[in-house]
Amino acid sequence: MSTSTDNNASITQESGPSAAVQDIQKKIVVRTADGEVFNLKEEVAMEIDIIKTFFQEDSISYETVMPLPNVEGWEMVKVIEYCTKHVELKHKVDGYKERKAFQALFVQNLSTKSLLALTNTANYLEVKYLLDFLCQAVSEQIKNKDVDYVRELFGVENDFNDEEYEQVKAEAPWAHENLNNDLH
Amino acid sequence: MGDGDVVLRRVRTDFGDYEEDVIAEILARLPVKSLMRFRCVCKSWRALISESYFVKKHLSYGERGITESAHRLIFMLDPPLVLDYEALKSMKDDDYGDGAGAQFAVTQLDFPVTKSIADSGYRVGVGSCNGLVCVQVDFEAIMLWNPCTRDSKVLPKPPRVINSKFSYDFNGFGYDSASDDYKVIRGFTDYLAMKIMIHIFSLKTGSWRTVEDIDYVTLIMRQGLFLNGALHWLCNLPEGGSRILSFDLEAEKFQKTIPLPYDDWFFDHLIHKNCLCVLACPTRTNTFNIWMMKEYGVKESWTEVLQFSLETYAEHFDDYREYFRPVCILENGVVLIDEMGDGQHLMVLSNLKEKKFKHVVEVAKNWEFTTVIYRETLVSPDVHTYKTNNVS
Repeated sequence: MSTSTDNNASITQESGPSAAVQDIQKKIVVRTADGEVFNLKEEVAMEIDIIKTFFQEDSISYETVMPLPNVEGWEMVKVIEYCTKHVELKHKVDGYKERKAFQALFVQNLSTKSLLALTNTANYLEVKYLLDFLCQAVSEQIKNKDVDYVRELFGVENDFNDEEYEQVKAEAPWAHENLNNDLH
Repeated sequence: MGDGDVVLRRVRTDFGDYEEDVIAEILARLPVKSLMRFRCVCKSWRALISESYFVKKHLSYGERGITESAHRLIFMLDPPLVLDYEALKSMKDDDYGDGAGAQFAVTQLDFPVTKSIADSGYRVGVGSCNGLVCVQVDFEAIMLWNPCTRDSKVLPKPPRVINSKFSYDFNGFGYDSASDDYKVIRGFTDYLAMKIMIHIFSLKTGSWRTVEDIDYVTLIMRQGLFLNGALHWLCNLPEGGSRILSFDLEAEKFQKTIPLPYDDWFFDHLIHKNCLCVLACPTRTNTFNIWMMKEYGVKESWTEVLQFSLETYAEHFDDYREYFRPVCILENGVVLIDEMGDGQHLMVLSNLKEKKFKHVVEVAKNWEFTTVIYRETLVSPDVHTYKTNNVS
């Protein structure tokens, strides 16, 4: 028996509109790279395309624990958090303000580096709306930053030699000035 | 992949821990200034930012409103002056202090310096499309310019006009999406022979061609407006009445003229909310009406959207039409270029009820100039700098 870390959202027995046939929500189980196991509500799991595709195979039963070797436990927690909210707001008529507030809080609680790690996760798991949201958040956080900051954040080596770098920089020197200037 | 394999996919350059798609998705949401700076991050970022598919992705995000790509208004003077068009459009009544009125921030732009053409400073804005501005320099030379990336390209000289009866009358610049090509039009009219001739330039082929023997109309507006894949000019038909002349950039042909709201003279046009608008000023009045064609090409869809009078601004004047040019339509007002009096000013009427006109920018002192509205993009005027890594 594997130790299961039930995600909080999946424990609360909310009477979802997707009642389908059973009272008890079907659960889907995944295991992340660090060995953590998550029970997801079916409707949340189906937001994650890679999981959806996996379980749509005829030979795969819902009893199977799907391995996610490219995802860390903390990342899964965040993805589940976001998708759960997304599903909840799908059923609401006027969820705009709530969504905005949720998104602001979501971003606030994560470093830029963590947000960036999550973009990879969202891309791998194939959750398009989460990927779009995270990419937008990262872009907003880096738009006024300098080249050194960006290299460090993305873990990118400078493969220009000094001469090449100066040449590229000289193509648009104005882009390196006044990093908080609004108009040009 | 073995050495002998043909690389059919997009060249996979190294982006470290991140997929190229993810990097592209983040970068496509950045303003141009950030991207021009991040070209210095490393070689693969520099390559990505110049890639044709990336430039188009970035452009489409601006067009679709996924990112806020700023619009700017240029006064084509020497040096050109530029202001934030979004800020202008969102001007409200309470932006004015008591009496003096708000002044609007205007910046000078560096016009590209080129050795290949003479530039006395006389420049005419032909039009703008996808962030590229087309400028005619000293009557003969044509340049494509991206004011945001500061990139520019002088086009090959247009053909010589042998028939001296033709006078240069109109122009336009736009994008042919079917062939992914930018085109420039220069139009000439021979009033006596009742004929029009045009030169068309295609950026893709890098060459001009001439189309002759087009039926004559009197063009009222020199600068064509680009909308729905066609260029548009206000004109008067020989038999009487005003129409909108349209030139389809894909077919490279003049289309059937578009009717105006009613039978009368219209004298200026602009685009508002992606629709053609025209300005009328019934003679011997000082009232201006702006009509908007809500459905392209449908006469019945012309709707009067704005009406204002200049009576509180300038009295004792018979014919205002020549002195005011509309620049943009506000929620409850209009922005005009005022050429009456001492020099040219940018003038705002922000509240139709109050009828208060305020000068917000002194543009020039008695100098003729054109205006162009452009968007911030990465699009390069030199199509050869694009890498064509076409996958399909």
